[in-house]
Amino acid sequence: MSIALQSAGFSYPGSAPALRDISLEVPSGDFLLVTGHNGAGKSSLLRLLNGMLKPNTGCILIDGRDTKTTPVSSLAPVVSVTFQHPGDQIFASTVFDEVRFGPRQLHRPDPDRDCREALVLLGLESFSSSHPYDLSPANRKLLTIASAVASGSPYLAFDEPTVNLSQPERVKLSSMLHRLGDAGRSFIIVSHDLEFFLPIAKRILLLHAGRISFLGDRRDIQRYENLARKAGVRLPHSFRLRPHVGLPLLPD
Amino acid sequence: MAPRITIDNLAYRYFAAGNPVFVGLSLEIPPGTCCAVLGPTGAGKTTLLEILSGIAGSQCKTSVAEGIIQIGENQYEPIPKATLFPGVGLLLQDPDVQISGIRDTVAAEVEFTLEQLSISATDRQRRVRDILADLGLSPLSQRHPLGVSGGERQRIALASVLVASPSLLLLDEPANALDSRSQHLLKGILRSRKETTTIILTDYSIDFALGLADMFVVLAAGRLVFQGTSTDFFKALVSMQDLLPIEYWKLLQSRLPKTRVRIPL
Repeated sequence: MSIALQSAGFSYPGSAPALRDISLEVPSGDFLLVTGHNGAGKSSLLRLLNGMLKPNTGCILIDGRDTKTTPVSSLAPVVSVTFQHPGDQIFASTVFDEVRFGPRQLHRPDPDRDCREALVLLGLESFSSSHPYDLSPANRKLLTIASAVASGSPYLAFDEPTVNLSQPERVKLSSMLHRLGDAGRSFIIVSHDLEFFLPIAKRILLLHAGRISFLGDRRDIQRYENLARKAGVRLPHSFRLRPHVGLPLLPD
Repeated sequence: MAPRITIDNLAYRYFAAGNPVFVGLSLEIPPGTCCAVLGPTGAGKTTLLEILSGIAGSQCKTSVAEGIIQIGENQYEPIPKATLFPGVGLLLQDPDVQISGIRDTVAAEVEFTLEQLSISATDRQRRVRDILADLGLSPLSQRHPLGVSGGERQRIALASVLVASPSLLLLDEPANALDSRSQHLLKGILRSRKETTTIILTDYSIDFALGLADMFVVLAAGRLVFQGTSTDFFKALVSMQDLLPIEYWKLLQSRLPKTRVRIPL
């Protein structure tokens, strides 16, 4: 199981290219953090992965299948994507129905169990019968993540998953990422929240003006930081100060 | 002129039979202060801003409030019953709610705010040009306001509020989805307005507020857990580890006595 982008490029109609010449492989078990300034092409990249957008140049292979010729419904069992704004994807009238929709559509053997497990994993089990719009913005965000988790897709791709999450929800998200990561699920995360994700990610991708500026191991953080600063992305204060008190730049 | 904000014994609930959001909340924010209101989900951060902006009093007809709110010379008992724009500007958490989308370009969307205020066309266009430049939005001025990235929409929503130059600026999680360059730009703009503007911003983390806010307030379930200066806040940080994401700050703080590192308070 793998995701491969081969010289992929994408332009919105009438606009300059959002992504240019992106070549990238995401092997099974990876945890790839996608960073970059606003408008660098991060969210477009996620939409290309599940076939919602098709590359204008090059190609994207999801488990060996070209996204240009494969229906979105056939890619969903492999990659599940959440959007930045929960309102862009929530449609059901209860939390349970919302989360069960994915595994049902994908004909998983026991959608109810998938749904219950995902809700427990994200700490939402007590909201099963609530309307999604009765949840706090933070829990609505966790709801979209639970829906992706329940789908059983081996690749989970989240767009700014920590936006709107306060400390208690961040603890739940972190626990879920560690548990599913240990179980072999792969993550592709678009985020500005480097304090949360740099300590968890295995690899970092830096997009700058639609191109790959850095792609490498998290241990190569010093080179990342030099390139990121030029691209207008700074490490959080709490990391930048660490070397001054005798700590490595990145926490273990 | 930047107003003093006094909240005296505020009690608020969305429904008469509902759980209280605040019970006896009292707070005083001096003129020209940048006050960061921090806390977890459900703390009451957004509700506080909605009350001060007049949105809660004008739009939530089922709500029940007690206490007194004073904004500069104006006293409201218990809370403002009409929106106080343009004197009070509120940035909502979700830019897609704030952006009207009824204008075809970013520049026209931002100018739409000023059209409500009887400002001459020449003055409107100058102010729009300036705020778009301040927020790094000039290259997007002719794009559709909803046809840009999430972080760019956040900056457009900000421009729509800032262009009216409110003397009380309420920002609900303004750093959400902003990259570090945009956060830096925004901090610069807010610092430059401190003489004339009282600023209250909410956040669930501390990174954006550090180096900007001179007063910190921490709420949890509608209760005031902490209020004080940035120095006091940093000293009390460890006591707030269940409420705020401070894991890495805590570690830094524990090593600070042995070093001479300056924290960007």
